[in-house]
Amino acid sequence: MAHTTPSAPPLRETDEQRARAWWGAFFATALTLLGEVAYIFIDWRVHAGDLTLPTLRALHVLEAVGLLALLVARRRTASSQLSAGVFTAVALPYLIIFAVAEVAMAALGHVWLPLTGHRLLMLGIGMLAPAGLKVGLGLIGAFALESVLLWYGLALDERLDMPWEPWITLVWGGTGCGLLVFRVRTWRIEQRLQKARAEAESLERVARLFLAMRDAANTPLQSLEVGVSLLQQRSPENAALLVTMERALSRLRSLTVRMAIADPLLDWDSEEESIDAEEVLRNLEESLTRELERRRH
Amino acid sequence: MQRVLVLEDDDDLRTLLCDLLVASGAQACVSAASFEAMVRQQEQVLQCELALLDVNLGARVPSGLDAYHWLRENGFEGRVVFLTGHARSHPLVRQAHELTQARVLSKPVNAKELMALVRKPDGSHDA
Repeated sequence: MAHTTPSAPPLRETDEQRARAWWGAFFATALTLLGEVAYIFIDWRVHAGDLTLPTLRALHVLEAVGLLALLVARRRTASSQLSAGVFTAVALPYLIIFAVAEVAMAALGHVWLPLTGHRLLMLGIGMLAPAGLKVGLGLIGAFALESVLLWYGLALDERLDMPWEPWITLVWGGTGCGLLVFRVRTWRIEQRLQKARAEAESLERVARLFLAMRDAANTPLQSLEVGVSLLQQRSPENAALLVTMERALSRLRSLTVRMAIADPLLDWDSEEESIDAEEVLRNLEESLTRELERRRH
Repeated sequence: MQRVLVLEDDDDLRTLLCDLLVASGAQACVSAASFEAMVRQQEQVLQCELALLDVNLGARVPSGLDAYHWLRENGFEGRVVFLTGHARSHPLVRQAHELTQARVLSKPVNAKELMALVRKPDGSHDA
């Protein structure tokens, strides 16, 4: 009969990782807001009389304000998916804005450094995108593709003496991807460590519970052991009854012996640590109450 | 004939242990529920030839090990047997195991083993 290997349970996202994803989205949106406000005035001066770019930038600013408000409102409850969604929503409009800006700059005939926005954004995505390869790599790929299309579409290779383009832009894209992969890998390692730590803590809690139960049982068991022995001496006429009691005691004894299996898992903090079973059980009850309380909220 | 000291914080077990040991040949049983109660009976305690000490006498109170050191410092020359219901890995229990002049028995100890503590090697007793 074939045995099926149970698939590993999904790694749980930690509060810290959610917070980190939130901060990535918040930082990217705030930077967009500040950058785009500055570019409204820059484009106003550069493309005098043409409101297309300032209007697009203003719309992007409005979107960023809305997304920032959403992030602030959901600060404590935002999932990584929400943060990734906000990040994507704030990054995608750049595809249109950058394309319009490159076309406008090419038409103006000024000296300019093409594809600068693409390069910076691809690096920024690598550094800030909420952990998850699909979103980050997808965005970087989209901006890399657009930069190549713009370069050749606008025939910049014929007009500008920049033989390193668009390749250097693609190198920036590759660097952004590398940063993202490194971040995602670190994130996954953290998740695995977190899971291992949670399992170890859970096992230690079980070990403490076993120990506390065994400790709480041993003294009454000893009383029963001595009591039965005294009865055997004092009331030999009840021998049959005492034999059954002795059997029951033996079963309880073997149960407490089996509970000792968890002893090596325990790491005593100090010699002062209480070994009062009642106190250990009380502490465990308090921990369980706190955990239940935490799960309710 | 032996006098025995039983230091155990559980009232029922303390009484039963004394009963068993006296029934098994001990001349008398001096019992104490705490370190302080033991010290208060210094004269009778130091006349004992056997001391049965529970390692854990409760949280944040002197332990059976403190009682052991007090006994030795006050000239007690009898045998010392620790009783413990706790993990061997706990520092207090480990310390008890490291003492060369004391035995450590883990609860629940077989009654025969307890009775043997006060019986003569030939199995007889003086009661």
